[in-house]
Amino acid sequence: MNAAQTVRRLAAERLEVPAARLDAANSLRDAGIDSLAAIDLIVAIEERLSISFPECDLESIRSFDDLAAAVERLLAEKHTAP
Amino acid sequence: MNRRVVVTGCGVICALGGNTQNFSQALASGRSGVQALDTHFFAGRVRGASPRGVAARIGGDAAGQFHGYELELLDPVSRYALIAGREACDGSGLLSDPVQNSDAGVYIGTGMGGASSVERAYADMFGLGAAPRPLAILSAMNNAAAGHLSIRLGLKGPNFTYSCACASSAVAIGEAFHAIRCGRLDCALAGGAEACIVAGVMRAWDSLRVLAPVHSTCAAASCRPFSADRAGIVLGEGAAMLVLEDVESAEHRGTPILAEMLGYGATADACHITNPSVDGQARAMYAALADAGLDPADIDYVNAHGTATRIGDVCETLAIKRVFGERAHDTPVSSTKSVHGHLLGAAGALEFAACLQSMRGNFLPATMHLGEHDPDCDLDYVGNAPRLGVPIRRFMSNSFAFGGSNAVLIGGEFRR
Repeated sequence: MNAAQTVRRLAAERLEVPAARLDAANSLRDAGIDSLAAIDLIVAIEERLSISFPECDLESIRSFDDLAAAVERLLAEKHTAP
Repeated sequence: MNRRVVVTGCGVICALGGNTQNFSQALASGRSGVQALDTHFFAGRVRGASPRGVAARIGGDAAGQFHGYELELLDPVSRYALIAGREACDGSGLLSDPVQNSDAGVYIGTGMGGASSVERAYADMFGLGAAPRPLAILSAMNNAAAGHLSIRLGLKGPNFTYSCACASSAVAIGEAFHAIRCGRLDCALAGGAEACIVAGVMRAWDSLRVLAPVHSTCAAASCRPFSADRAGIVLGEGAAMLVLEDVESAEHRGTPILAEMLGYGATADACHITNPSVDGQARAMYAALADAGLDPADIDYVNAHGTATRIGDVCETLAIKRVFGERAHDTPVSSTKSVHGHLLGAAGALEFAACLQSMRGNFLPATMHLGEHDPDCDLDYVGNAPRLGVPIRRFMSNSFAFGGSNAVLIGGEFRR
C-alpha cells in the first residue's frame, strides 16, 4: 500500500466512513476533516508509521496529496537515517 | 420587569436511564442504578490489589451515539450533556423555532469537567512518557460541554459554565431563571453534566474518606442517606438539561409547559471548605422562598442534598427544621441520591428533574434503602418505596457544596 492509500485508509477509520467515500475528495476540508480532525489524523499516522511530522509541515497540509507527500518524505528520511 | 419563567423541555441521562421517561419510571418504581464497579475498573491504575468500588454508572453504550474522531473530541461529560440537551430541546420544540432557538443561552454546571480526558493525558505523560493526545485540552476544558451544546443545537445566546462543586448545576439553572425573569434573555438550555466515574477521581474522593464501600450483601443499598448505618457517598454520572423560557414565548409557540420556575436562593457558608453550615443552608432556603414569594407551608416536598455523610445529613435536617419550623415534620423529604448516586456538579439539575418528574407523575420519590433513622435525622423521610398518588404542587431542591456554596431551587405546577 502506498502513502496515498495509507493516509486515506486511516482517515476513513478515524471518520468512520467507507474509504471509497474519500476517493473523490482531495481537499481535507471537503472530506470533512477540519483543523482539529487533521491534527487527530496526523497523530494517528505518526503512531501507525512511527514517524513524526515537524511542526512547520502542519500548516501547509491542506489535502490528501499534501499529506501523502509528507508521509513519503518522512518515511524516506527514516529509512536513510544513520 | 419580572416575567414568569416556565420549563418546556427536560432531558436526562444517568444510571437510571438514557432518557427522561426511563428516569421517571425508575424513580416511580424505586429502582436503583447503584452497582459494584467491575473488578477491572482500577486494573493497571493502582499498585497492588484493586480496591472494590461502587458507583451509579450509565449502563449500555452512551458512546455509541458518537463516532470516530468525535470520541476523541467529546469527553463523556460533553456526550452526556449533548444527549440530555438534545432530548430537552426536542421535547420543547425549541429547535423548530429558529428565532427563539437562535437567541437561546446555555447555562451549564459541572464540577469536574472532562475528568477522564485529564486522567488520560496524565496517564499518557507520566505513565507512558508520551505526549498527551492532541485534543486533550479541548476535551478536558470545563466549558467544552457548553460549547458543543451551542454549536450542535445552534444556541447563540450567552454561553456560561458554572463550577461551584455540588451546587454547580443548581446555580446554572437559578442564574438562567433569573436572567429570563428580568428580561435579559427569553430562553435558555440550563442544567448540568458530570462524568466523574474515573479511577483517579474515585481514588481521590476515597482518600477524603467520604465514599461508601460496597454494601456487603446488596451493592444497590450502598448509599443510605439519613440512616443510622449510613456509610458515605456513592458517586454517579450523567446529565440533566431543562429548557427554560418566559411564559409568553412558550405560549406563543404553543409548546406544552411542564412546570414553572418559582424561586432561587444562593448563599455562602463563609466558615469552612468542607464542613456544612446550618446557617448557610437555612439562609439559602429562606432566600429561595422569599424569591418565590412563598412560605414553607406552600412546599409539598423537599428533595434533600442528602449525600449520606453523617455531618451533611444532620446539618441539612437542622437547617430544614430551622426554616420550616413547626411544618418541618409534616413536609416529606427524600434524597434520590440513594438511587442515582451523587452527580456532583450535575446533582442539582438531575434532582430538579427528579422533582419535576415526580410532580408530573403524582408521586414522592424515595430515599431507597433507608434503614433505622439516625436519631438526629427525625424528619418525614420518604423511605424505601416511593409514595404513589401523592400530588406535589410546589417542591424545593437543595444543593450544598464543598467550598460552602449553597443553592436552592423551587419549582411547581404552572397555573395561568
